[in-house]
Order: sequence, then C-alpha cells, then structure tokens
Amino acid sequence: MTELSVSVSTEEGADGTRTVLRLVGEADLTTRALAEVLTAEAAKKPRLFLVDMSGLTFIDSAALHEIVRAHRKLSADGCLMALVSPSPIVTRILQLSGLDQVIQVRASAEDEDPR
Amino acid sequence: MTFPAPGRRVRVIGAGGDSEARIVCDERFDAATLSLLRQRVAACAADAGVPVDRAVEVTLAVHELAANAVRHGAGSGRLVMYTSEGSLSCQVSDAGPGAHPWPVQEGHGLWIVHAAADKVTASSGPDGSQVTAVFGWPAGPGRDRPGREAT
Repeated sequence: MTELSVSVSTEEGADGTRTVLRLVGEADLTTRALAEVLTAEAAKKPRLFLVDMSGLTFIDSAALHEIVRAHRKLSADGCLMALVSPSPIVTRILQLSGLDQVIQVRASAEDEDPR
Repeated sequence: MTFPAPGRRVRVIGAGGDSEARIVCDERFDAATLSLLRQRVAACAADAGVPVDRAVEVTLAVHELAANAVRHGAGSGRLVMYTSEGSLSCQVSDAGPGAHPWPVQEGHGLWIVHAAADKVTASSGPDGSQVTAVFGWPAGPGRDRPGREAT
C-alpha cells in the first residue's frame, strides 16, 4: 500500500494566507489523515487553498467527498480552493466524478488567481 | 490474496445465448487489501487487452464497488473478472447481510461506477450482495466494441 502522505505549507502575503496541501500516494476510504488535515486547514480560512495533486496516484469517491466538504466550507467563508497538477489518472477520475466542473483545476501552483 | 487458475473458462448465459468467458482475475479482498486489489485489477485489465485509459476507469469502478462491500456490506468480498466477446465483466460480491444493501443505495461511488461502465447489474438479499459492471472499449485491430445497453 502506498500510504498517503499529507504535508501542509503556508505563506503569508499582503492579501492573506496561501495554503498548499500536498498529497503523495493513494487516497481512499481507509485514509484518515486527509479529512483531519483538510478540516483543520480549512477552518483557518486561508485566502487561497491549493491542493497539490502532482504526487497523487489514485483517489476514490470517499476521499473526493472530503475535498468537496472542505471546498464547501471554504466557499461559504469566501475563500478559494483549487486542485493543482493532477496526474492523467487523477484527471480522468476528476472528470468521471464531475468534480472538475465544481472545483477549479490548475496546471501549476503559480497560475494566476482568477478574478 | 488468492490467484486464479490461469485461463479458467466458464459458461456465461446472456441474452444472446451461451458464450464462453475466460476468467482473468479471482480475488478476495477486505479493507486492508483494497490497494493491492487495485493493482491486481489494473494488471488483469491490461492482460485482458483493455486500453490504458479504459483500464483506469475499470480500476476506479471496481474499487468503488469493493469499497462499498467493505464499508456497507459484509466487510470483505470477492472479485471475479472475466472477458467475453471483447468486453470485460467485473463481478463484486460479499457473503452475508451488511448494515445497508450496498449495491442498491445510490451514493457518489455508485454514480462513478455507472459513469465508467457500459452496463451495471445489481442484486441484494439476505445471502449477500452482488454487482456486475461490464466494460467495452473502442474498437482496435480485430476487436469490436459492444454496444451500450440500458439496464
């Protein structure tokens, strides 16, 4: 099992906090760390919350559901979430689930914020 | 994990009459082996001639079904995959009643299964639940894509 590794980095900018959550490995219903970290970081209301998926090799509906929950919370607080550089496999899963229509997907973390 | 007798053949009774199917995967799974199951499904789908892009969808759909058996069903189950006439069938079952009739209650995961597969059939009863998802793929050399059928 490629256990999911979750790491968080934050940057304080003039216009607020930018949080990057980096996921490496596989995320599924047996992954506990994801929900805990998402909930804790979303509660801090960063201006921009990026989920770096470049190291993510699989994600199932249970793990996607946790991301949707965090997205809903962030949106309600006026914060922006984006998914960053998913692999081709994860991109296909995002398409199949329709999540790419709900949450913004960016090619890289340095992409411009949409205004 | 168990491994199938290579190339074991079974008779499949379908609407078009009997046809012969070749079992390409026969695995038991529980919460601890879901990741291994995904690896096995991807390898078996590739061996069965499923294109890489389609194999991703097969792997995701089978995982969702197995995850439902683990979470809502008996807690463990069995996957049998067989190929017949250019399609791949994936049958996920569990033995015994779980807390919820998992193939029947619609959730996000089953929605993905329906989006990925060409055909999905499900049954649930006191002896357990069973879902079969059938996958075709775009025609390649010497292979025809089965038509999409309504369930």
